[in-house]
Amino acid sequence: MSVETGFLFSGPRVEMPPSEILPVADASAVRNSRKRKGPRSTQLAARGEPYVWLMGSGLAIATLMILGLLFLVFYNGISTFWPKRIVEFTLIDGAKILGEVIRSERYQVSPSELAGMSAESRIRITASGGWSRRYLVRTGNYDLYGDDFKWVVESQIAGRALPLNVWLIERMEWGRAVGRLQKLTRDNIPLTRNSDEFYRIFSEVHGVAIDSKKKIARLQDKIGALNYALENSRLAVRKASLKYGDESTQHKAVAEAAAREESRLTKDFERLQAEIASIRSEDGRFRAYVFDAAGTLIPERPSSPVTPMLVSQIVRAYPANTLTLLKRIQVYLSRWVEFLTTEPREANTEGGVLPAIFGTFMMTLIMSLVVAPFGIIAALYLREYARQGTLVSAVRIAVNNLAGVPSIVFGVFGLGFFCYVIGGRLDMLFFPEKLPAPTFGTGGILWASLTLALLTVPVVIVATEEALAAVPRSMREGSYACGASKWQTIWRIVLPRATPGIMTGIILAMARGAGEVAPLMLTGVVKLAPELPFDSHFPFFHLNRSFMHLGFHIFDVGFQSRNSEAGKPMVFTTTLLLIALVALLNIVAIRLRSRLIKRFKVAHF
Amino acid sequence: MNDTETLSANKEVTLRRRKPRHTRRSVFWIDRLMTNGITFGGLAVIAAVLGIMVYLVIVVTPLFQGARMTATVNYSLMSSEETQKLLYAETDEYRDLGLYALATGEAVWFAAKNGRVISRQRLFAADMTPTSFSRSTGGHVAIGFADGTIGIGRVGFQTAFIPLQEATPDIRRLKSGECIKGRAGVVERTPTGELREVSPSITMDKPILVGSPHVPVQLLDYRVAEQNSRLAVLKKNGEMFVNEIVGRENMMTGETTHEISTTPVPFPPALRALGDPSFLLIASAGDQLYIAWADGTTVRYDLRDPEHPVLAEQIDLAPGSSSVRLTCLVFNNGEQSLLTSDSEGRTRAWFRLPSPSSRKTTDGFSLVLAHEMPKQNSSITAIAVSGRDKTFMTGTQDGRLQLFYLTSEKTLAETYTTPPAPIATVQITPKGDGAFAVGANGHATLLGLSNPHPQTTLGNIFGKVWYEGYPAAAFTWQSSSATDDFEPKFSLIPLIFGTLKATLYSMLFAVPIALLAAIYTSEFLDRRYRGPLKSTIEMMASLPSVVLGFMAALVLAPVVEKSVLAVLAVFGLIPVVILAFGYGWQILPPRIGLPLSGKPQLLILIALIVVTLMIAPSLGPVLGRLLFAGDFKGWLDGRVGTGASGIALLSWPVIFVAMLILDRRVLADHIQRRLGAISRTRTAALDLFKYLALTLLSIFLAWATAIILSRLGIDPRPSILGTYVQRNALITGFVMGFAVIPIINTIAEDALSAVPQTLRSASLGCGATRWQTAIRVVMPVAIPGIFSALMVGLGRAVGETMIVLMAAGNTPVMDLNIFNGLRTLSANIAVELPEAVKDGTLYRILFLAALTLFGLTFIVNTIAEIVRQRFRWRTQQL
Repeated sequence: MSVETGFLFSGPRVEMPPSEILPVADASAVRNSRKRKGPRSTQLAARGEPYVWLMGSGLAIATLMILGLLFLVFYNGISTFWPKRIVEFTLIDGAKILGEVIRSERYQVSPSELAGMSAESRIRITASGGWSRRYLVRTGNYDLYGDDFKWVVESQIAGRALPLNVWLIERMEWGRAVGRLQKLTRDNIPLTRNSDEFYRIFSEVHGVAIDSKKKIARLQDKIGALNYALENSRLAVRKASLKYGDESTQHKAVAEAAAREESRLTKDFERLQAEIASIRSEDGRFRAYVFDAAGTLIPERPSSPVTPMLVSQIVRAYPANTLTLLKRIQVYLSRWVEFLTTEPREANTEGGVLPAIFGTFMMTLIMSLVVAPFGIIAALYLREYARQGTLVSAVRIAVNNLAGVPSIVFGVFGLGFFCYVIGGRLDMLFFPEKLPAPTFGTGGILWASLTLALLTVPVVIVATEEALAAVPRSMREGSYACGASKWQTIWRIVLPRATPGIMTGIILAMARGAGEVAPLMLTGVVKLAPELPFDSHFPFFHLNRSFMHLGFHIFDVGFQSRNSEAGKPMVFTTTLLLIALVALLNIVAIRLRSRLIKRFKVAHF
Repeated sequence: MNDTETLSANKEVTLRRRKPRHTRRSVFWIDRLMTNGITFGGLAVIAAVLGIMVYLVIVVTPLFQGARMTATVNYSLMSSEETQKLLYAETDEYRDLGLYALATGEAVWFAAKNGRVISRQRLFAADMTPTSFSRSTGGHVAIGFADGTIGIGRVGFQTAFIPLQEATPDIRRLKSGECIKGRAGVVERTPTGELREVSPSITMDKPILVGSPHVPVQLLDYRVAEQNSRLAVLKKNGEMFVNEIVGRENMMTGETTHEISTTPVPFPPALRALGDPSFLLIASAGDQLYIAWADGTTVRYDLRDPEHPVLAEQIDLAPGSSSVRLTCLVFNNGEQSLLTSDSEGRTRAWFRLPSPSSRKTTDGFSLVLAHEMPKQNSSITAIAVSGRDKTFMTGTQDGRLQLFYLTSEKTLAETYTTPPAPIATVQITPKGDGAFAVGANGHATLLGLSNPHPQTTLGNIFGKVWYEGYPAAAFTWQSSSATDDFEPKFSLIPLIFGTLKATLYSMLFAVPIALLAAIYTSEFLDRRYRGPLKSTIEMMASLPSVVLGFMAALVLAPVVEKSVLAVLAVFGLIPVVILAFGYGWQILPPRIGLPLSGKPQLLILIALIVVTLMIAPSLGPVLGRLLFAGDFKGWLDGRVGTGASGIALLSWPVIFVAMLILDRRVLADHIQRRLGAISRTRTAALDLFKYLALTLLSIFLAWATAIILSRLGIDPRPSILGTYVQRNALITGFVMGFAVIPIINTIAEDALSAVPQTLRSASLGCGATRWQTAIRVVMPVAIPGIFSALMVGLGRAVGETMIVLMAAGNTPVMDLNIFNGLRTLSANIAVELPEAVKDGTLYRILFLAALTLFGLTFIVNTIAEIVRQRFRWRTQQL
């Protein structure tokens, strides 16, 4: 390519279909004529090179924004569970601080702070323009310090070390503890004196404790079932009293049966309680003596008398600085497993998100079960059955617009109409014995799913319509020509061809539904749901129950917990999970769509 | 459907001729079934989707329906002699039992539904001569006697539920809602089936003496607050006292003894010369005392220092002609303001506010006329204040009862008593669901009031309202508060303002990026990279907004707070650097430059932006030292510096863009004509030099503008710039960009791509460059599509909830300041609806907010959709 040609014809090389190359080839003729008439500098301005760069920067910024955000979430989400080393800072005044270094930052030292420093560090800081560095250290031991985090200023640090016998202990309550493990005892008798054996012995003892924890959980499940049965028999009595009156024979019979049931259940209940108590007392024999950086015993609970912590209260513990890489990976994976398979603890800032995953999944599922048939039927009507005219195109515009109506408006509608109007009616008809406590008359997973279905139905309608329109008319005509009825044509010819497009629509709807939070906040999502919407009690699916949701979990932990800094790692992992879920759905949809576009090349703008 | 019919008809014709197989019956049946089913289902889905708006309207409508008066009962209650001596009359909260008290000391209890007398009791001994009387909320009465003593006590109702087995057969037979005379009072069966008896309860304590003995009490006012009670007394001889009463019950005898601390209040002779005053009011907090004469003259005492009462101000509360008489003076509910009525039918509300400098009072407050109700035709004879909200009822000389709402000045309902007679006394029942009035002819009127949303008018929701305690009318949103007598303030304007503010800032950020990216993608980017970049942008669209909100509030906001100027510097620096680089790039011979355009160009751009981002943090402090004395936050607070630096900051982008336009439109041609033909490299170098010079010039011009404007007294603080709040419009705007950019970008790019390829080919064929083709040919055609992209983006920004909920601080203020928080309609719904009582005023107001949002986005989207359809039709014509 000659210099001149490149100069005239700016920008990237563009591959064009042969028909479009023609004008470009002719351009050289134009260029020649220009060359004769006018000066070249016009052509330089005409290329608008700097402005093309400016336009490119728009794309670059957008790409950078999204990639940066994804990287941030991914990095933080992935690294949260990695067991970091525990650093011991010794400050100038002799105080010691143990903890994981979360991050460091430069900050402007305030004049008052500067005045309180040693002359040496003051000179150093002044020389660097009043800037210094500080570290955010996760010290744990919330019960002792009243905070999980501490800022350590660079100039205050006299020394730092990685002590060997420092353990990080995740407890059932009060968050993490960080300290030196002095001894492990059974009935106050040390199990070993050798600190090298601590990890092995601890693993053994802790394994037993975990087994008994599982036992207790099973027993508590049984107690839950008893409570459920008890509640049911009480409701039966009330129902009979409402239906037949207080003095009727039916009511008396039900009441007597309930009383018998109650005495039987109470006996069972006491037996289970005793079993749990015996397991707990066995657990109570194992204790761990852990001392923090200052040498204070980390207690079982912040109250007097001070007793060392129970091994059974420990979720996970490891000597952070002596762990081998393999063990580190093991801890990392076990934290992921805990995160994905257990229930949250500590006001949602610790533990797992299983109920939230389950809630998100189940809500999306119910939503798509509702949205798919209705969306497809509406689209079939609009495209295949309705007489095309002004009315139908008006309806089409309206449906399109609904996709742009704010989700919170749907939430308001869901709360008012589904929860209060429909739910309230259902309660009056079917659950009068529970009133005034609402059954369906309040937020629940069914109402949330229906609300989201309403929110996403335009997406399905639009996508299905597009898919139906993409089926060539000739195929329909061919079918009719063979004598098929209209429904046969639709069922056998049109729908199969349109399936990928319809699936794309449904998956896009699911992706949108899974990521929505605002309408759920009004229609049934809660920060902590004691019962899942699915359990072993008849009728197994409890669609009236409120539920947890990954998106709301992010909002809740990030904004409403006692210590948003402590919850932040958790929020990042939850965010990663949610983005992964939504992205997965989207990628599937995009793939399906590109396949569809390849199959039927129809522009859809 | 026609197709099917003709088809089957044709088929039948052929079938008959040949007599081969028949189409199965089931095929026809299924076909018909599906046709009907799908038509019905489709219409139902569409109706359901469109029904959302209808439902919202249904919920909102009752807000504007005003109050209704129901179930009026009229009966003759007392003789006209008794009416002459009537002190007051009232009913209990269920409107079962009534009471009227006479100056003779008699208290008569009657069935409120029909006026049948139940019992008579005495408030004081028959030989006492009452000279004044006061009654306040909760049935607390005080009676002043001619011998100078004062009797205080409580006359009220007590409610008890009767166990079914103790009820007499008559009572057992009661149906729901019916009343009957019980042992002491009136029994009613409640809708839930219980038997409720309301019976009289009188406790009058021994009269106490205040001031000189044997001097009649002229006026008194007695109010009971939570801790202690206040009693204000004016005696015939001009002695005036304020008493704080602490009651102590004797455990043995059950008698109450009172501990009284009395403070004399001066009543100067100048006031005594005005004649006998008619009204005396003391606030239950004990800080305010009012005395009013019939001609409207009112004096206010400031009692905040109980030892030294101060006469604070004198004011005419019945302004106008001298014949106007003040007929009523009462505290409004909450005792924040005074209600007055006069003989010409006016009712006014006066607020006690910090006084303006023009009218100095001793305590710095003054009474200001805040609201005036619609004028009546005849004198107002009685006022009753609701104990629940700011509604009140007036009774007139010609027998009319009217219900008003104070802050909206709206007449909620009105009725005439029959037969019409001057209203002697009126009461709004404690639950606010009824009213009771007695006329001068002894006839009683019992009304039911249905007044669920007294305060909502279109004016209140969308206009400025003067609320109690506020210096002037304002747009205010404040739905709840800790105190009981709080009046919720439901102006949607601050929320709409917040919505528009968030939208404005996010569009300012998102539109340039999205559009530039769209044009670049469709016109300049190599086709190979279009796909992956498009799906990256679509990834952005699918990010859940809760994630964006979290990133904004917990990750971004703390970082930005630390280095605001660096962030602002980035916004300015990126376009300058990119343009400079572009001008520099032109100098490169095409041999090197051309192969690099395409993917390398994007990579270079990304690297360039990253470098700029790394430079910016160190640029921030420099900018701070140069412009804002090193303390930007202090400058924002108005503590340091002048407005000039702010103006420079704001005007520079405008001037910079103006310079660039000037360059392309005027300067370029001019210079070129002067220089004639020069080589490519030299032209490019000249361009770069020119650009750099213009950039410097723009900085200089911005600074000059700033100095000139600040000399004229213009300071951007505190309007568009102001005090920095961590979660603010800047953060919100930026993060909302993540939500808006992909939408605008995708639709705009689709629109640009939809411009027929033939147009581009023709333009290029005529010798235009790609740049010229993009700007002069493609853009004009695609403008409607781009417009519709902007509209859809706008719709998304207006309705976004989670981002603003988390990142915008949720303060309902009307402040343009980019560094201040805001509250949008959507975030407001998310915050308040979970707490709102079903069908309450707040609940319906929030539905109205949702309806507003719905309407707003629906209009915007419809415009976008119509424009887009036109555009599609037009491009198809091309």
